Amino acid sequence: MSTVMGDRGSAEDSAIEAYGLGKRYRRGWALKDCSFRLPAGRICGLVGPNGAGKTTLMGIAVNLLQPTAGTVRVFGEAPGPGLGAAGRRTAFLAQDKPLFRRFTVAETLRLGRELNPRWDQRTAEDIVRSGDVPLTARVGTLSGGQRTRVAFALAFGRRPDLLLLDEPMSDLDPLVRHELMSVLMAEAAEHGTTVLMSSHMLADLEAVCDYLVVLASGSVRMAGEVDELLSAHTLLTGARTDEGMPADLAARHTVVESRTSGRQFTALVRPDGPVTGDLHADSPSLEEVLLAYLRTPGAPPLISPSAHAGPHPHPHAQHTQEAAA
Amino acid sequence: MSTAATSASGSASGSAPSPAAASAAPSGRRGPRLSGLTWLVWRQHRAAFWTGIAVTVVGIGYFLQQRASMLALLDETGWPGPKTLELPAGFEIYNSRLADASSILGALLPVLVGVFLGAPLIANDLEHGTGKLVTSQTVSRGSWLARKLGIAVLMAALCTTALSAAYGWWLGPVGKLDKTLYWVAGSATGPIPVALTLLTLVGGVAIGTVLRRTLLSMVVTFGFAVAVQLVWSEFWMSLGNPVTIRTHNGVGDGAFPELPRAAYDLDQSHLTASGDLIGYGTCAKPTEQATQTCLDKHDVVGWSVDYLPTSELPGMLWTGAAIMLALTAGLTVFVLWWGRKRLY
Repeated sequence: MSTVMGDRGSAEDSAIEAYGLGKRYRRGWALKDCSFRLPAGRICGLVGPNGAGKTTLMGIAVNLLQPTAGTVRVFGEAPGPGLGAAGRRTAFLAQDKPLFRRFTVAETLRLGRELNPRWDQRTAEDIVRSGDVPLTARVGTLSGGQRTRVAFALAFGRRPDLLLLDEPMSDLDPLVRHELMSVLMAEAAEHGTTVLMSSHMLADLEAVCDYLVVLASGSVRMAGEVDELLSAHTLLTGARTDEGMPADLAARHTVVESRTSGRQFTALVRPDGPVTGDLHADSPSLEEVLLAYLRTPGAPPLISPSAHAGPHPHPHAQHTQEAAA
Repeated sequence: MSTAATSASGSASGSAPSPAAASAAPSGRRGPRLSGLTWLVWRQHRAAFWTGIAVTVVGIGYFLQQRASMLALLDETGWPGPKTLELPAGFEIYNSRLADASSILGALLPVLVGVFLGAPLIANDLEHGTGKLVTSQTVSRGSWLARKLGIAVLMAALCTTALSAAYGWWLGPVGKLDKTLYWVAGSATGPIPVALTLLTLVGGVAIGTVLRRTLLSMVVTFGFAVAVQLVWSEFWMSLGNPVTIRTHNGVGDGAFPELPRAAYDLDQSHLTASGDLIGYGTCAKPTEQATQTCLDKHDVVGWSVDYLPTSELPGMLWTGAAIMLALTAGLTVFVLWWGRKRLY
């Protein structure tokens, strides 16, 4: 049985490749056996519940954290100190969006100019100006949305090839969120920036992402093109039997999750061949697929070919690959 | 683009061409044009640095003014007299001012610098995430830490050196006349205020780097700074090589040996005929007769006094400063090592 998907991803450059990545804190593993690949040029959502390891994964990719196990490559290089090629090409916006509160907006942009050899003052200033944020205002006096805008300006002013955003919109109202998401998309499109953006709210990401990495309990549950991930799944509805779901269904397809309500059962499956029987087949929404994977830790992970970390994956990654196939 | 914003301070680093390079930073207009991390560190801590500069300027002004008025008093009273170097009446006020200034310079200043500049220097950035902001630019953690520490140390060294020199100049004309002036006021001259300040400053930075919380680091640094002061005041006298003087003409009135001017007497004992020393309080009896009996019983023949001649002081100060600066260097290495390995 195999989930056949397009293979166009493998020819592209990798923005991020993680092999068997693990990070252990005193209280346990925050990230374990994490293997995936993010091709360059994508807008990728990093989704998972709180505590899934999203922040840890990003921290490792930008060298704020050292992995306990495994490796990560950013544009083919280990994330070194800020001066390495990987560090130069990557910008990171941490969850709390730290900025110097006593600096003015202009001074904050000057910080970017002073500390980055390839700095684009025009891009940075345009982002700030388009939000009517006065350059002379102190950062501490700005609203949450304005501060996020300044942080975006600082990130895009660096002309990054890869931009990592950790919960960038979590503390903003829907209007500002929408506005900033447009800024983000416009800038990313204009400069061809690869974006990895984490959120625990899928709604944030559904509209803008063409790639998805789903983390739960520190490991990758799903990774790949949004379209491919969706088309690989079918939502089946039918009359329930004594066991809930017809037994032959599980034998012939990969069942991610099944639930019963009243006399009906609903199952999310990765069909292997045509679905037969008295069943109603439907295309699931991204949210339905995501929730099914998050609710069912035992479901086999789905890694699309373009998201496979290759060419010499960690043994555990191999294992994951087989489970997915 | 507002014209006010397109004033000076273009890209001083001379890097990426940025036609729209505009900065409304008012700091760009005064002082030398800084760039890169130096600009950042100065901008972030400019309140502390300007305070330091202001305190230094005011302090130097005060020392010079006090020196002038002190010399005026001495001139007025015709000091030094033909026969005596005794300081004239009315000089007490300068005595106490010199002593106060020496405590401020040698004790208060290092503590303040450690608590208000050293402790928050790194801890504040770690607590508020701005350290992450800086090190996720094209800047390595090591160079960020080194530049922060370097500029803070440089500023503290310049200010305290200037203050110490001005204080030394004030003390100079009278410093060798009197034991208290020479040893107590003199203990805060030369390299000592600089070394104490730098040790406390870098100690505060190390504490802040490890604890990562500003307020907690300030409290702990205060404890550290006080400990440094206590250890130093306990310990520094033992850096000198004492001279022993012995007399054999009894211990009666006027038999106490005369020490060189401004020498510091460390210890005085009674010397017995056998060469042993007994504490001079041993024979402090209520009656003169009892005292004499006691002295005879122990066969006391004279005094033995240990003292530090004035020539010892500079060596003691430089040795002490060297020890403290070596500790400072060790702490600096620790901060940089910790920063590379364990900052995040």
